Amino acid sequence: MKGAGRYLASVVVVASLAVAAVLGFALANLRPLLGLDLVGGVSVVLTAPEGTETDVVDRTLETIRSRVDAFGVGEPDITRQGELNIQVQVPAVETGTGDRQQRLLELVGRTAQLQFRIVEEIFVPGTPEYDQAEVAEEPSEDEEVVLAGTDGSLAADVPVEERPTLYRLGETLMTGERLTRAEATIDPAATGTEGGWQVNFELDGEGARLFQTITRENVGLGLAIVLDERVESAPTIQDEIPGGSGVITGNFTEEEARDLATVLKTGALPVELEASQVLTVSPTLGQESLEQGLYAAIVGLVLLALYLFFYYRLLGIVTWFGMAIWTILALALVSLAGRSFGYSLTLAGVAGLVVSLGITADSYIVFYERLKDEVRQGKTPRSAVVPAFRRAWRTIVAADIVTIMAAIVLYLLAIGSVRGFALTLGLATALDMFVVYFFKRPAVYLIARSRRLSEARGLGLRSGVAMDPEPAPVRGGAR
Amino acid sequence: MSVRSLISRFRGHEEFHVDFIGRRRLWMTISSAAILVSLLAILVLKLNFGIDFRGGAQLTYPNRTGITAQEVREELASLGRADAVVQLLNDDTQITVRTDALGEDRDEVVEALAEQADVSPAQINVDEVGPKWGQQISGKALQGLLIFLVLVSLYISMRFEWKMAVSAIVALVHDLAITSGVYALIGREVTPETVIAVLTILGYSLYDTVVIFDKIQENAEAPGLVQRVTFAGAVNISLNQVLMRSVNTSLTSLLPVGALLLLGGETLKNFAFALFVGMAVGTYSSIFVAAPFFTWLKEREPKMAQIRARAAQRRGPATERRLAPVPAAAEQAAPEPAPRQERGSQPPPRRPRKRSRARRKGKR
Repeated sequence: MKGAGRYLASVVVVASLAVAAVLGFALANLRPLLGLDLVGGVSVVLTAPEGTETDVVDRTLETIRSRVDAFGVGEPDITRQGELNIQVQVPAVETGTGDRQQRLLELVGRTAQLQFRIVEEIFVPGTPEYDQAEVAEEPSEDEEVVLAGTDGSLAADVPVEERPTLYRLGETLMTGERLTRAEATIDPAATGTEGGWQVNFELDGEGARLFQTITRENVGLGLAIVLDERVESAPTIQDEIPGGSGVITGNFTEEEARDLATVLKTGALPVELEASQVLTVSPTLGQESLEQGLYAAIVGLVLLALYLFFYYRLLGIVTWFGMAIWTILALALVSLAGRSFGYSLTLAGVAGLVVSLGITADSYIVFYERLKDEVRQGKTPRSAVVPAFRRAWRTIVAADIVTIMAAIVLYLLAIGSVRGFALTLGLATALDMFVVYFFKRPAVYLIARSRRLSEARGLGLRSGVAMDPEPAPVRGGAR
Repeated sequence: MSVRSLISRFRGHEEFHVDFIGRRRLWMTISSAAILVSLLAILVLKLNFGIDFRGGAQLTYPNRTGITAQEVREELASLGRADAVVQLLNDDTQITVRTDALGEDRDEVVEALAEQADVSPAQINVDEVGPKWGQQISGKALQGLLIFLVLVSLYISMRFEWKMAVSAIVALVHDLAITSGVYALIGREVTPETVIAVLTILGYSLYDTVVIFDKIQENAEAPGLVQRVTFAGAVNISLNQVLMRSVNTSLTSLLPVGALLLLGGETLKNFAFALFVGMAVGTYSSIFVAAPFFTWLKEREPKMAQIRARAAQRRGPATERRLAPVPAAAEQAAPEPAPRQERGSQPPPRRPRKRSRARRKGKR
């Protein structure tokens, strides 16, 4: 009886784990963190140029994080994907809709490289000089360049009156790195008009000295404030400016000014990023996908449960419990992963769970079929379960290890939704081995020891492993 | 075979006696033909890559006011996007627009479409993808796949033997080729979900193959069994023993996937479709490709060839080729389980079952 006690203890412990998880769902508000394809929101993938070093990408990521924080989003999910990609995900409840989403998109991807250069020549659209001037593709900091203003479009087919002013500028004298503070304020000179906002900035000690020198030496000339390779404004220097503060005017709206202040404060991105994927999902679509997925999962599970019962009888019911425990623990693990390192369950993650459902069902089938083999050889159920499990366990471990290996390799290497898939697949498969060893094995051992449970006609273990004399169409029940 | 006997086999009262290995030429012909058709389909019809691979934008939003695709097209044409593809889905309740990258026109396009359809701009789902993103995803997935295949081959070689690793990879390539072929044939769009599904198929196909190889290894190591029935015979016994496992496992795996396919949303359907095809092909290939291929590799070993020659001598050349039944071959094959009835393609109809039942009763 000592063995039976141990089996019972194992079953009870695993079942209590599941109960604890259920209590966690009910009382401690333990929930999987849902991905934005299920709740709606914005996802942006930004890609750094080929060959960018990983620590530069990581620094870029931190800058983006502080921008999103400054924008006022509670818990953005910002991760590096592969070597070069940064993924920013913000659920719809945080972004709000429409304009605010659009602003966020612009905010995260903007390089915000601020430069101060002296204006050497101004080209007005329509003049022959203007047509000859060529805007620099990759402007160097140490050379004279021609850059466009923000008062027009650089697209090819734009009429003359919509073209921007061009400026020939000297080398860069100072960059945004020297900025310590930036703040949106109302432009006193432009009150009443639609724009009317400006950004005040302050420089650190060295920046202040530099700024003073620049302004002293260039009185009467234009000082171009260049943001991301466009001339934002080019005021004429009236006098030497001490104290290290200045202002960027550009007829901004309030929101534009605030966002500009945010990017200037958080600093420029070390590299220029390209948007690889921009995805917005409305909360309604997310909700629909979630409901359809859940509905399909429930229907699938019910069919599965019915089939297993039809085929394995009492053992099928062991499977119900085992798979219920597995499902609860899998959800608990995913929830914990959400809490501890922000893993959010996406549709791909759900798909991983559905696939492992098949794998976990297979673990039961491998064992039961093995049991049938042993019984066909003439063993009694009681003597068959131990060798059958030992052999089936080897098979289950071999096969599960292959799946877990796939999950680990994919998780480490893949990007995008593939990662979410790999994580749930790996976790769920590992969990399968746990439930099989500590729940299914002792439960089936216990059933095999009980005469009543294993002999029950049409339902019991003997029937499940096809030991009932057949055919038994009248009393034997379903066949 | 009567229905009742079929059911009783299905329930496991009897074992199956299918001559899998003897008909390997047939399976090989079927598989080669399927692969050929798939390759032709991929070459001629090409795979239909979604915007995630080509780059561009896809907008999806509800259609509550019953506007037609033509009206949406005209609206887009007025925005300078005359080549946009407009589709109405789900009984015309959903509008999908595919067009070039939106870039700076984003606001303008979204607002115009929202106004036309009388929805708020926030209800318009936008998926905008740079041309390199899809390549990156699949490039990374491919890299992962290669590493995984190397690891798995090492694992199978260590746990079993390298010939099994080779056979498993052959079956895997078979599954991939056919799944891609099905995609090309019916022109279904290839999305990142498809890539995930294909990776799953790989895992599943290998998983299934490993389960079957585990059984083959066990029988191949059973004392004396190979000597009596040849290696091919031992593989055949193994396949018959795991047949119900395979049937049950594919049923239980396909039930949830089938539910996703019929009831899931668009994204899930895409995913489930690839899985459904891949799992079905994966189950088939474990039995009909991996095992026969492994047998073929194995039988080339001098030792196995010797055993086969000896068996042929015992039975005469005609029966050798078909791997005919070896009556009571495994009767003494204990302790490992081995079926004790005759096996092969045509078991004598009734008598042996009665005998076995009588014996079971005796043991009780």
